[in-house]
Amino acid sequence: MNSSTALRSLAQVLTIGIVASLASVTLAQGLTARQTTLMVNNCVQCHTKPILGAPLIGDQKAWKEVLKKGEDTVLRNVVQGFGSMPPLGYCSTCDEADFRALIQAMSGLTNTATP
Amino acid sequence: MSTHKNTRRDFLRKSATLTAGVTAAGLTTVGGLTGCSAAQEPQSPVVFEPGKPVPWINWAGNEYCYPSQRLAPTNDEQVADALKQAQGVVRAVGSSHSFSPVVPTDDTLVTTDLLSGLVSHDSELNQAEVWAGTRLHDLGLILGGIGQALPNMPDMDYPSIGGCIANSVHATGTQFGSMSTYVLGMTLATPSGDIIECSADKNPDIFQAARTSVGSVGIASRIKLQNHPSFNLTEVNGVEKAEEVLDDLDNRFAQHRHFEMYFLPYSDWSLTVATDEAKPGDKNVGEDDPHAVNILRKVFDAVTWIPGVGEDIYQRLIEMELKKSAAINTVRTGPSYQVFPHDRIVRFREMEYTVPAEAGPACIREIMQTIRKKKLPVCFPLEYRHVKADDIWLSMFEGRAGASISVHQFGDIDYKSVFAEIEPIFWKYEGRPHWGKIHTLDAKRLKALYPRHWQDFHEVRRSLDPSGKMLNQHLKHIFLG
Repeated sequence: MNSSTALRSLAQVLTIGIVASLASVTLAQGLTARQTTLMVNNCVQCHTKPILGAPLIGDQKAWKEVLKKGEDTVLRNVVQGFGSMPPLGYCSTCDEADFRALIQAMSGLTNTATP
Repeated sequence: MSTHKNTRRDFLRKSATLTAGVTAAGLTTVGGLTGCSAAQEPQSPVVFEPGKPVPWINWAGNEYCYPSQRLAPTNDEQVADALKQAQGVVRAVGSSHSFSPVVPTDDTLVTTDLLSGLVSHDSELNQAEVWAGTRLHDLGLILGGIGQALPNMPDMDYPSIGGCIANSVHATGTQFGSMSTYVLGMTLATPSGDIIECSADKNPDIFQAARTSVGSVGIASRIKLQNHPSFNLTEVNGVEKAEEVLDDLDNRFAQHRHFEMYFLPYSDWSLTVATDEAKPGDKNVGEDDPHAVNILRKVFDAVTWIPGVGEDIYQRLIEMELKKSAAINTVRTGPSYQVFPHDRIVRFREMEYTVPAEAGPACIREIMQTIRKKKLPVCFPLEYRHVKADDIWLSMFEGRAGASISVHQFGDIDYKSVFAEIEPIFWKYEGRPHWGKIHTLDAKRLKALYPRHWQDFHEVRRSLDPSGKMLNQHLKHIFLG
């Protein structure tokens, strides 16, 4: 199982109800337990539903397209909101480092800093 | 009753195809109705640059702030410590879904993303205690895992349970109160940093105030809920003549566990949503389309600008297609927490008032007539729901069953001019504004809408927060005047 598949599987597991056990979860992609909780409470509600059009967690092809704009632009879009993407992706706790880590982890890409 | 029923999706899609060949190039008003498409509002109220402070912005993008301190507690003690040590105005935030400025503070923002999950439960009594920051989309799954379900849920599941309780968030159904009525008890960190338990038996006055407080009496860290055993629902969507449904409204609400309708501006038609416990053999038919309202907007913009006849063409396009359509309703069936909510990916701003239930039909009729008469540039459907009366001091449903009527405008269009025309209609019918949605009332006028318990509430609030630590500019406006 590659990293993107693993991450997608994890997101699916998390979204079917093991939310309370998150404190002990740390993703291989570098998310802390805290950031994982933030992802589950906020990001997964749209980034696991194909009908909404958001790049799905672990869909490297879709994320490569998004990240062609550069990570800073994606970060601006996340904070300000972009199209259907709500401002901050619902995450009022997230700081810039959290957002960058979440973008990287959800993309399944190892380096998202450069286009 | 009308025989012309169709899926909501088909209805809107077919309407959109009729606009082929009709350009919306002339969106300026030429004696007709101004269309909606010309974006007037930016995507974000503020510009963010990497390396600079991250603003807080609400879902609708009409409110923002730059708090000097942002705290993310993970337990009761950390919530209390945050309140004890915080300087300046302290506000708490859940999912940021409120449209009114209940959150902005330049001082301390307490975020509740990390207060999430199940604390404990009682299978025999169908009760569960959960962390207050738990989002409804997680809560449905969590409760489903222990064989429980919320009795009722709003039509979207983005908010946190704490935010829902603070603002009396509600759904529809004459036998169901707002979400605040499901609360059996709370663990509350007071503005001075004490941790107290409150319920109908323990600190009952604080409980009454905290069940709908707009976040002014402290921050709830845990909430104990009275749930139902897990259940399945089937939702049936239809398209019907609005007046025929209004004439039959009492029956509709009586016949269905949940019923609501959407009124289409400049049209005699409405969308109806009837939801009941699922029966064996119920199956999904069609599917929800979260983009549908954008299609309606395209139809509206394509024809309503035409001077003198635009509204009539819009109405005829819709009606003509409906008459051609087969009688098929969209059906969604499954676990309650999957059927109640719908995806929301079209950004909008919302004003909602709750009028006495018996005044609902007259109020919505006057609003729809006003939209036509004044040619207001709005095509977003208006939502109409009924909610059971309760005894919560600042609940919109205190002492009276309510008809909640919601008016929306797309997020990239100025909403103020349209809302300003409609809001006075709600006042005529003694409407109480939703605490988390847009309105212009101040403390003096709100006090008159809550004659029985306004003072009771504020005595408790002042006793817990004598210095007004929890009051931002908006809360001062609505509570102090």
